[in-house]
Amino acid sequence: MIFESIEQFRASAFQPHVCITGSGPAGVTIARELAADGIPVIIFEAGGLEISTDSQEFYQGATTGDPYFDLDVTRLRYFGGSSNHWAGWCRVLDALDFEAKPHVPDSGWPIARADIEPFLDKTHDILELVPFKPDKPISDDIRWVQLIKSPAVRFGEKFRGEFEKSDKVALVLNTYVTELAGDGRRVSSAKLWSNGADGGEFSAATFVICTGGLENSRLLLWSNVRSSGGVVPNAEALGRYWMEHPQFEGGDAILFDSTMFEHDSVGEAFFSPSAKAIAERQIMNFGIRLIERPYPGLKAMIADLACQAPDTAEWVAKGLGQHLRCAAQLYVGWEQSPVFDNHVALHASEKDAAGVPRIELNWKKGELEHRTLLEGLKLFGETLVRNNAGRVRIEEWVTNGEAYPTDQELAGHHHMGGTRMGADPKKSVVDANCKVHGMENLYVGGSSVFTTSGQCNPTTTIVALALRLGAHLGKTLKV
Amino acid sequence: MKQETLISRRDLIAGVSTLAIAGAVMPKFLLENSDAKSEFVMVNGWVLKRGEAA
Repeated sequence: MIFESIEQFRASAFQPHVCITGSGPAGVTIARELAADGIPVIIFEAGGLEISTDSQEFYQGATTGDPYFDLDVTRLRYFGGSSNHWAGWCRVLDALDFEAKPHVPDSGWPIARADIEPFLDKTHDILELVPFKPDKPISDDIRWVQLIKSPAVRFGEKFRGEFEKSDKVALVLNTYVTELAGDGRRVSSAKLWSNGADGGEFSAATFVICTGGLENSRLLLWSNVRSSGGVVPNAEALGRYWMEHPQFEGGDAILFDSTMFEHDSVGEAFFSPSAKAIAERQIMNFGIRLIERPYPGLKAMIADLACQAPDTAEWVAKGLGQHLRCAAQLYVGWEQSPVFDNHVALHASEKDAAGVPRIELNWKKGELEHRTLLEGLKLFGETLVRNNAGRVRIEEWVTNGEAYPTDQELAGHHHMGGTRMGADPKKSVVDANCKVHGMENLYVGGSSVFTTSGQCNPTTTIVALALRLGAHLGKTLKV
Repeated sequence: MKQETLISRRDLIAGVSTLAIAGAVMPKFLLENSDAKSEFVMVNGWVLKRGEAA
């Protein structure tokens, strides 16, 4: 069932047990799992079936710290959420991403990768993925890893027909949950804004917040203001430890022989560090995306190598037209450490049309991020030397520790943290089952629960975690 | 690989000559990661084997 407004829904006799806010990958996946268990669900989607400037306007906000994207551009507010513009890159967080690392403060999830592995086959079905190939070490320090360029499933398009026919899922469009009411133990109701007007309140037995990696924090922060801490009773970490994946072109490489690498369907290859390298270099996880293609800088690059290492350059010259393949650009996307000061806050004065304070996002990269970028490129360069496979040249701004360029990608549009998972309520918002600490009936889905970010695109892990939460709720709520 | 994208040996040799001279008059290379125990050095951004650098 799909409804255009809360008034239209109220004219129906449907009695949902669970209220989900947000219809992105997490919300849709949890709703489908509950429906499969026979549990009636309502999803409130703030936008409609298509993108609109009026809806996107609600996502405007401010940023401080490092340069970042406009907040109404980096996410989408309509059925399917930000799956409507994602690129489709898929990979699940590594096992090592879940582990605590002594050199990374506040790292370590309360679950292991093994806890989400039972849900990966279904994740692959949803995202239309072929099975992943195992990582392949190419040195003690570097492993070839696979990121799959998937068809980039648009959750709204894919599941609209299923929801239209469903007698267990009610999708209510144009209905914005502006706040939750709670007493420090249970959430009792959600306050609604539907089609530009007060939509009254809605009560349910269980609430699941899936409004995205920025908006989850905003909704809970504002709900806590309105209910005097009655929605997130342990709120020290709420909005905190927010993370992105910095993404920059960190260097380039001359590849003497790239047949040692397996390339994907779009001619690219990805490389990540081993656990040993992460520990020894005291860095975070990273992914070096090797884009092998002819480009005008090759001639100057070989000439530059000749200046630094003439014998090597002469050897390279002998390979021209033979085994020498070409140059490659090295794009690096990497893990950001979870830092308390990187946070989503409520703007002091700016509010949206429904009266909810807009977001003020404070996001900065620190010393650990720079070290990861530099050491990661060094590790890859050293691996190429050891394998006699090429040479790496690292960008001067990286080696000199200068400011990050502002004319590059900046980051991955991956919004993680803010309601992070953990065992300690002082340093996390949800427990291992994605339930808000201290609350009986409030859960959070999506990348805002990520304790740490790993290096890969988050959607695959978001869907796996949503399936796990759906299974947990199914078991807990099934009567 | 398209041939025109590859530097020719003649070009390379010319490049070596020109740039090697330029290098010779540079005051010094930027040497980083010069831990004597490391088998690698970083010279002007290039990750090289120790002893490979000019």
